[in-house]
Amino acid sequence: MAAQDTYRVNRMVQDLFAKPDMMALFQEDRAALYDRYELSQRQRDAVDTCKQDALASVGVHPILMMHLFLASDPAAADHISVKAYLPSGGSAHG
Amino acid sequence: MGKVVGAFATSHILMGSPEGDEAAQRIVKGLDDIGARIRALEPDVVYLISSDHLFNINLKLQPPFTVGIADSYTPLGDMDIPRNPIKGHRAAGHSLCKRAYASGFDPAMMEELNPDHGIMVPMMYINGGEADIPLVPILVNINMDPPPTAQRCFGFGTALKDCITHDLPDDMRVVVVGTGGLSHWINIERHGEVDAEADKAILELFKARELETIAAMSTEEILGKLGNGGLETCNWLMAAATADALDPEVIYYEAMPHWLTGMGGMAFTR
Repeated sequence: MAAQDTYRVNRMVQDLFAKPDMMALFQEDRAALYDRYELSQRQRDAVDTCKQDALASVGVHPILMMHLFLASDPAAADHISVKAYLPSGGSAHG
Repeated sequence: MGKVVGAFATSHILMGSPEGDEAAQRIVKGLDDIGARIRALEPDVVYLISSDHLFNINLKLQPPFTVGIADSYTPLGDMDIPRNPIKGHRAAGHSLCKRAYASGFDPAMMEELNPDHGIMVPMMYINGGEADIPLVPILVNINMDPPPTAQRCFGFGTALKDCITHDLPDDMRVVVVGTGGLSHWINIERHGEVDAEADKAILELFKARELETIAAMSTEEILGKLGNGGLETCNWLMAAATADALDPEVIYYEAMPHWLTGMGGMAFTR
């Protein structure tokens, strides 16, 4: 796979948390999101499966895989959280 | 001249809940201890060295080192971290860049940064809900390929020490904190492994002030021993480079396979 193709899928993933409208598309209309970033069918399939091996095979950066898991899996996002470590009210630290 | 009154290093992730998890409770105790020690040192500024997890510094532009020069920072809010703005220290950030440029380093300067957990988890404990210590964030790009070498990180840490001791105002009290690590392999071969022996070995090197030994490690060697996340040990090395006159001490260590990482913390104080 050409490097530019690999960057396309990484660019899409890194935009999820940077651009709320891209995250909304990811949640609501993935095909439109994939079209916007001109993903290949293989890349689309890899993102849809959201499995480490598949994502690695299309060159998704290991840290961006974590972005994808957090965007896809509410249980993962709930586990990787400081909520249980905050004082009651959750806003005293910072 | 300013003064390094303390340097610290700590892992920067939390997961799940401390309830019923004794190891997590010991980690919280260690983080609380580090935070209390820092507040007791009454620093005028904290230089905090972390990686960014591709939220601010992504693949679009990949600077090896970035220094925050803003007056305040609003946290990104990942990991449900409260988004209360924290103070920055523009002059101390700018002084570091000026010293770095004179020392063979060319860090990017950043006006806009939404610190992720790499900065904010330690800052939660440093401020402890009661302080608002001005921050200069320093981002080390361990996620680029190739990343900055340990030797370059050590050199940048030395430039930071020179900035503090030569360029900052008289009597300025400075704390330096390196964050991240210890061993973790994230979404690569060996994903989820923690190597407690390798973690303890690197802690021993820091304790023995063998900083040159760590600095001489190649990127491949660090990747092999500590994983891609373990490259954050270079952040510890930078903090330790500012603290050669201080005494190293391990505050906590826990292998945390259910958090996918080894967790550790150190202090370099008098």
